[in-house]
Formats: sequence, structure tokens, C-alpha cells
Amino acid sequence: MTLPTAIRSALLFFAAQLAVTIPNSPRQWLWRLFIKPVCLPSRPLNPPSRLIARLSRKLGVIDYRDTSEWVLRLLFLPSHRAASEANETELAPGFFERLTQPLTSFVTVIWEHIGPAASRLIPHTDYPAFSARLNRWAEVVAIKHPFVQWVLLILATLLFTVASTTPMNWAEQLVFSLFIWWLALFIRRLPGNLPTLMLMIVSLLASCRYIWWRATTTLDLEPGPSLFLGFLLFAAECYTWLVLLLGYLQTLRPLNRKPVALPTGFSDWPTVDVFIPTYNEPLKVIRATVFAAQGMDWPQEKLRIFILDDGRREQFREFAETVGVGYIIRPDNFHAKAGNLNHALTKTTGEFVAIFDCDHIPTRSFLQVGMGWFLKDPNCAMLQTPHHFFSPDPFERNLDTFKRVPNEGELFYGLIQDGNDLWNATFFCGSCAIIRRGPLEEIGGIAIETVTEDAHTALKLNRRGYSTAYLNITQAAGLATESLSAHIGQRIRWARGMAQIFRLDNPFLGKGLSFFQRLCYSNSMLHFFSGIPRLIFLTAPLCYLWFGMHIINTEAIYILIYALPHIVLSSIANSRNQGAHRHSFWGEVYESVLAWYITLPTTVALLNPHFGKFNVTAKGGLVAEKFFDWTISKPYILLVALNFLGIGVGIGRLLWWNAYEPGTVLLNLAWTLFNMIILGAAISVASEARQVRVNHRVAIRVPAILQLGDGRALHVYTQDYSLGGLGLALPEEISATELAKAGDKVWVTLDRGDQECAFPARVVIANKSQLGLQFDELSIADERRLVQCTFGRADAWIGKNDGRPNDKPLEGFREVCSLGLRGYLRIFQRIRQSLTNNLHSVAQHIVEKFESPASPTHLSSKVISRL
Amino acid sequence: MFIVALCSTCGGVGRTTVTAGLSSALGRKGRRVLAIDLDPQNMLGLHLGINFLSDGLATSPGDTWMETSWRTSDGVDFVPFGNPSADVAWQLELELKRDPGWLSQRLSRLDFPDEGIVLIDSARLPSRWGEAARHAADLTLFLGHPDPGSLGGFDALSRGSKSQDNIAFLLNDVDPTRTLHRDALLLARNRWPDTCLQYPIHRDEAVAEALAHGQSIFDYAIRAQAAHDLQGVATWLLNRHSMTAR
Repeated sequence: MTLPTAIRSALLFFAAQLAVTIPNSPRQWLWRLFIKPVCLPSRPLNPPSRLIARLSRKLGVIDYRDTSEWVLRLLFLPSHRAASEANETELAPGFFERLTQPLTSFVTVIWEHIGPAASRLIPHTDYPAFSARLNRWAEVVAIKHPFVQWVLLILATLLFTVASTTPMNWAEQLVFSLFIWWLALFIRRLPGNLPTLMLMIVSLLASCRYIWWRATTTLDLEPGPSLFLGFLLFAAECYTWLVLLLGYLQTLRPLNRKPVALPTGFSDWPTVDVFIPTYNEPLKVIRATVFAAQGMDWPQEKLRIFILDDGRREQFREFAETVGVGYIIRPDNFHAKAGNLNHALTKTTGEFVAIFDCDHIPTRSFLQVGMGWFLKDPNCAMLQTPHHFFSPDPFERNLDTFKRVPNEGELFYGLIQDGNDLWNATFFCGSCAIIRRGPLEEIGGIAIETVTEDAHTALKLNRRGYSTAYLNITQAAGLATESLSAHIGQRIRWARGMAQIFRLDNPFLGKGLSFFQRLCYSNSMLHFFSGIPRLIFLTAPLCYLWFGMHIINTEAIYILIYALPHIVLSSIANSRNQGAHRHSFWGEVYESVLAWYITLPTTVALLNPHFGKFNVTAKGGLVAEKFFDWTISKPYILLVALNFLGIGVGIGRLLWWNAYEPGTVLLNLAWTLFNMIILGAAISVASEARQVRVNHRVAIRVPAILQLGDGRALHVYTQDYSLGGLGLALPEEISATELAKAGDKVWVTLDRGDQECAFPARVVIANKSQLGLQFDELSIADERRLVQCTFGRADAWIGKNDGRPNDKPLEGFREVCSLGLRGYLRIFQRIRQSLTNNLHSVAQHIVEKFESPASPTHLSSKVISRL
Repeated sequence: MFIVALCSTCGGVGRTTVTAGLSSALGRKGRRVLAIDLDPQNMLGLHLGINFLSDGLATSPGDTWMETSWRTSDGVDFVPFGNPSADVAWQLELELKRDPGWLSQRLSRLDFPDEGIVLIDSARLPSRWGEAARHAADLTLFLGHPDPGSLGGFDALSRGSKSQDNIAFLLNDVDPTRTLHRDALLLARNRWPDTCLQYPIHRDEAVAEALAHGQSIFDYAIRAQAAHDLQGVATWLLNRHSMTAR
């Protein structure tokens, strides 16, 4: 066979594969490379050979005739969900590992050789004993020799200042950095609180050195745009440094308050009003909260529950009457929730007020656990408990990290509020809290001047000299925000509110607060100003890559030597301090997602605090279709495009235009790459996963009795429950199919500690190891019991974090990288999908035009018959 | 050794079933268990796997009763009541009236480890057999159904008995789908919080089915709720034993 003939047959083969009917036409070739044909050339449905069948099974190719799917599958494995959703191409958990297989195996091999030797460099001792000895020394010095303690502190401060400000050449800085890194690696093996403090100090040392070096040597820039942008970048880095420092101070030592027992005589127990404000949420959301509130363990004559309905709905009034709780309305809706609560304050008389959002379901022990502190400390005006969510928030749902990675709010409720508690700076979070009526009325009720009325109220209480408390025990759980846009909307409101407070009632000014209270409040507010710095970081390297502007006046090697220790040590210290509540590098993702959106509201609120209105967070809806939130992700796509172009230009600079300073180009390219990964992760959050159930399933494992129709009773465990049904986990040797089939009636018995409650149900799913039950129409009493046996159990949320892997900084980094890649893949899929969808009909017409009417091929005859 | 008597004031509440179940559960935990049938019905053997035993405690004079014992596959030693003639039974009752400590003396002569447990299934009170069992026991477990009759019996016992340390109430055959049962359980737990066991034994068809199959419930349906409840009670007994031993 001659060469032209061979080429021709190859071309024809590919033409057949891609369904190019006129191989002579380059236009059709181009078309077919991107757009699939309306229907494929007819080939038998079953694969012709076993080899192809096996290959397609292995790779997960569903339609073996589709060449592009083969290509796709060779690179991307389908996820475990692909069996049911043929169009879904998820990244299998091991995808990132597969892609970087050669690199990781290389690194692993090297580490296996170096690792043991390297870890021998770090002294091995009995770490707990060493840590205990350190604690004893510290105590001895602090208690017995306070004078020595002060001298040591002053000396240490001097030493710290000297160490952070001494100029060093690169070799000295390198040795110094390696030394403190080695020190950090040793310290982090010691358990206890004191080593955490030491790690913070070591990290601050590296960070202060970095900032000092930046301030003193790198701001020597050419006047003009370089100088302006350079100072802008430096200001952003100062912001980050300040937030780091304040963050360490804020979480210096989490107080870990324990509950206080109430007196044994009920006569001393105060009266409590429970407020459940609502505006436009559906009734089914509030039912569970009301039932659970009725189940709280408190003398019934001293507990009053009120629904505060700003929507003034008849349905709610009837419900309140049927169930036996109070119902309060007001003629207007001024000041939204704050106004609602203040109005209710005028209509009620309880000594204490417990506030729950309409979807936050309290456990039965909420009051018994929380009220003790009020009786012990008469000056305590507010007690806050954590907000726990039993449904995944948009990050967890879209990234599929529910229960594997701590969610965004856990850092705040798990660590920061606990740290605030030490300084008596806990602030009210709007729900799951108890407030003493006297001080609340003294400050004029819940604050109405800002949209974050809760934090402002706590600030006012602190200013009056009252103390606030935080109990880090989850005693209520609620629904997370439904969609990313709702989530961002909620954060925008908080950001705006905090900026308003910063303007109107600045914690640093005014009297009544201690120094540390001011710091804690300010840090919480500063946190919301991270929009502009984050955007600056996301675009800073582009100044060089696009325009060639040097905004940091130094060589690349120096940046590496100064910035790397700062990054590495702060991630070590943060991982130690907050690893249980937030995995490393995830903060970057959360901040980046919000950065664009909170910039404008916070800036506007800073300039004009009275502008803007309260917007309620939507709860209880349903994400019906899987969709990609283009609206939300537009800014990120823009940033990604900018960065991507920057990389292109950067490669050009590396090879030709700026080949004399490869270090700088490479550094900027690396920074841009990191930005792109973070942006990719932010984009992947916008790809909304579908939410199937209307009633949110909570994963919980409690014992239950399953009573079948034939009288047998089985001891089982629940797997998850919701207000519509229950999922039971069966033991391995029992298959659900032998117990019951769909449609059977059974009884399931749960208990709430002292009582057993049986519920009639119907089997809806019976497969190998699971049994899904749907509850029949439950009476009010039964529904109340169900809530109290499930959400209302005192131990419902203990052990909610069990089974979660510990944080390791490199693991966190890998997670985020994997997410970034996934984000890009999703965009690519969506683009491809919308192209195919939108142009399908257009393709039909064009194909028709290409076929000559005289000799229709089988392809066009099928097309014509479809039209 | 820890001697537990299972008694009741009402009939048909499941003394024999629970004795068999508890001894099986304890045997499976590796404890040394001796189950004694002090009920003329002589049914414990059936529950433990053997029927129609004519030689037993009531038919063996002196200390020869130990030779009438059997061992089950769960490691439970059990002594049946036997099938005495009417005269022999009458003589034995007279002897019990004369000497209430008849059983405890015989048990004290037994070579049995300290951590072993003796379970005595007795006839329904009032009866000589029940009194004898109570007399010999370190702990008397009163069984009842979740209905007013049994609860009334518990009430009388808790008033009458001077020391509450050596009695406990256990509810058997509880069906959570019935309001009366649920209320009775709640009442019992609240009224006698220290005496009433927090774990009832739930109604479960598997118990009767296991007996029909001639198997221990733990062999027949280990996942049955009744099996789980019996294991809970067994654990409670062991804890009680270790507490009183100290």
C-alpha cells in the first residue's frame, strides 16, 4: 500500500468514527471535532468483541460507539455515582493522585530515603512528659516568682524585637529559617496548650521578620503605577499579618467552659421565654423547632414558648393554638428580626429569653445545660451555644466533603468563640442563645442600628459591663443555607453589618470595654474586610506578568527565603491551633469565594453605614435541578481568565522577553498557579449538586426496635432520619429483602431516654443492608414525640465529629488542589454540555444542508425522519 | 457466688423463659452459671434444650441432687426440678416449711466459684418454692408484665419489703406499640427508679419461635430485640454482682 492510500484509509476510518459524512469538507471536520452528531452511525448496540466490552467496563464507558467518551474516560474516571447518572463525569477520589502519579512516586521514594534521617534530626523524647515538665516550670515561675516572670517577659520581648528586625543576608536568613522550622517541627510534637503558644510565637517571629523586611527593603520602587501598586500589595500583606496576630491573640487559650449544675430546688429556677421569630419560612420548618422546644426539660409552669410571626399568617396562628404555644404578631415589620424580638419583649415577662431561629431545633437539655451559669454569675447577661448544621452547606454539598472536612462555621463556633470567651468577648449570634431580660432591656432591646443586630447587642452589653459566656456544647442544630447564592447573601449581610458596627460603634473607641475585648471584636470585624486584600492577592502577580511592573523591589531568591518561612510556619501554627476545626488552606477557598461579593458592601457600609437593608436568608427550599450557578461564578471566571492569560504571557516572558530574570518570572508564575487553583476550587463550589430530599436527612446512629407484621422485633440502628422517614442500618447477616418488601407496614420504636415511642411506618426501600421507612401521617402528639426522640435527644449531637480525619497541612493542600482541578473540569463539562445542547438543533439543519438530497445516506434519512 | 432468684406475683410472666435466656447469655459471656429449677412445672429443662427430666432437685435426697445436673452447649449447668410423686412433693413442702433455709444450705455446700452466678427459677408467689428461692438469694428479680396487675404486685412488694437492696423489678413482654405498655413502663421507671431495671424485655415472636425450634434465642435470632434485651439484663446482673462484692 502506498503512502497516500494509507493516509486516505486512515482518514476515512476517522471520518467514520467521528461521523464526518463529507471527508473533503474541512468545515465539517472542525464541526465534528466539537459537536457530536445527532445520532451515531449505526453499529450494533452490543460491543463486537469481548476485548472492547471489557475495556469499556473497566473504564466506565457507557456507549462504546462514542469516540469522544473513550478519550474522556482515558483521562477521567467516572465517579461511583456514574452508574445512575450517565452524563456525570466526576473525579474519582484518586484522580488527582493518578494524574500526578510519577511525581508523587518520585517524591515518595526520595522521602523514604531522607525521611528517617530527617526525623532523626528532631530530638526524640517522651513528648508528653517533656510537655508536662515545661508546664510545671511555667507554673513555678508564674506563681512563685512573678518578678522573674516579668523580667523574663521583658527580655523575651526585647529578644523578639531584635530577632525580627535584624537585617540578614540570604545565607543567614536561610540558616535562621531552617533553625526555627526545625524548632517548630519539634515543638509541634509536644501535646498541650503551652507548646501551641510557643508555635504561635515562632510563627510570629517568621512573619514579623517578613513584614519588617518588606517594609524596610522592598518598597523602594519607581514612582508611578509601580509605587502605587506596590504599596497596595504591601498594605494587603500588612492586613494579613495583623489578622494573623490578632487571630493568635484571640484564640490564645480557649476557655472551654463547662456547664454548671442548677440548684436542686425547682423554686430557684427562673422563668424562661422561648422566642422563635419567623418571617416567610414555611410551616413545616418551624414545626420541629416548636415541638422540640416543648420537650425541653424545664418546669412547665416556668417555660413559655412564643412564635413571633412577622408574616402574620393564619396557618401559623392555628398551629400555635393547636399545639399550645404562644403567638405574637405586630402591625409592622420595622427592623426585621430585631424589631420582632423587641416587640415580643414588651409582651412577655420571663426573666430570661431563649432565642431560636425557626429552623434551629434545640435538644431537651438546652436550658438545663445553659442556665446554670446565669445563676452562678449574676453579671452574666448572655450565653451562646454553637450553631450546628445537620444538612450540608453549599460548600459541603457541592464539593462532597460533608463529615470529612470541617465546614466553614466550625472554626468560629469551635475555636474563635471559645477564645473570645477567655477575654469575655463572646458575641451573640442570633440564635441558640439565652439572654437575661434585665440587661437586655437596659440597652434598649436588641440593637437596631445595624443589620448584624446580634453582634451589636453583645457589644452594647459588654460596654455596660455585663459579661457574656460561651458554652462549646452543641445543644441545637439547624438547616444550613440552601444554595451558594443564599450562602453568599447571608455572608454579605454579616459583612455589611460588621462594617456598620465598625463605623457606628467602633470597639476601639468608646468606653466600657477592656483592651482585649476591643481586640477581639475588632478582629471579628476586620475579618470581613478581607475582600480587597484577597482580590489584591489574586491579581498581584499579573502586574508583573502582564505589564512587567516590579512591585516588590528585590530578587526572587530573597522573596522565597523570607516568604516561605512565613507561610510554612503560619500553616504549622494554624494547623496546630485550629486543625480540628478547619483544614489547612481551606480558609483561602472560603475567603476567595466571598472576596468579590463582600468588597462592595463593606466599602459602602464603611463610607455610609445607614445605606442598605436587611435581607433574610432563604431556608428550606429545594435545589431541584443540578445546575451551574453562572451568575455567582462570573467574577471568578473573569479572574481565572485574567490569570490564565497571565500564565500565557508569563511563559513568553520566561522564554524570550524577560529571560534575564527567570527567578522573578517563575515566582510570579507559581503564585498565579496557586491563585488559579484557589479560584478553581471556588468555581467548583458554584456547580450545585442536586438536592433530592425535601426533608433533610441527618446522619445519626441511635438504637431502634423494628417490629414487623409477624410479631418479630429486631434490634437495629438508625442510619439517618428526617421528618418524613427513617433509614435503618441492618446488621450484615440480615438482608432487608427477607424482612419486608416495599409497602409493608412496620412499627419502629425510638426512645428519648426515659420513654419509648413507637411510630407506624411503611417500607419504601428494602435492599441488601438498608431499610428505608416512610412515616405515615403522624398525629401532632406523634410528631412531637418523633422530634423529641431524634433531634431533641440530649445526646443527639455528641460525637458529631467522630470519624473525621485529623488535619495535616500537606493533606489540606492536596485537597484544595484536587478541588481546583475539579472546578476546571466542571466548567469544561458545562461548556461542552451547553454547546451540545444549544447547538443540537442547529446541527440538524446544517447536516441536512450538507447531505445532497439526491443520494440520502442512512444518516440523513434518520435525521429527516426525526424532523 | 451470686445467687439470683426469679420470682413473680403473677403467673405467666415469663420466669422460666427469662431464666433460660439469662443463663444462656451469661454462659456465652464465659461465666460459670448454674440454673436451678424450683418450680414443680419442671419446664426449665425444655427451655434449655431437654424435656421430660424425671430426676432432679425434688427427687434426690441429701446432696445427691448435684448428680442430676446437665450442661448445655452454652456452658450452663442446670438442675431440673424432677418429676416427684405426690407424696414426695408433699414431704418436701413440709420440710421447706420447717426449714426455710433448706436451699441455701445445699447451695453453700456447693463447690462453685465466687464469680459464678446461680439463677433460681421458682414457682409463682405465694408458694413455698418461691419463698425458699427468695430466702436463698442475694438478689430477687421480680418479673412482671406491663399491666396494672403486675404493677400492683410491684407496689405491694416495695411497700412490704424492708430492705430494697436485694430486690429488683423487671418488665417482660413489653410491646411499645401499645399505649398501656408504654405508660406502664414509664410509670415503673419513674416510681421505682432505683429498683426497676431501666431495660425491659420487649415482646418478640422470636422467643417463642426459638423455643419451638428447640434453640437458644441467641442461636436462633441473635439480632432479635429480645436477645439484645436479655444481654442487657445479663450485663446489669454482672455489674450488680461486682458492686455488691466490693
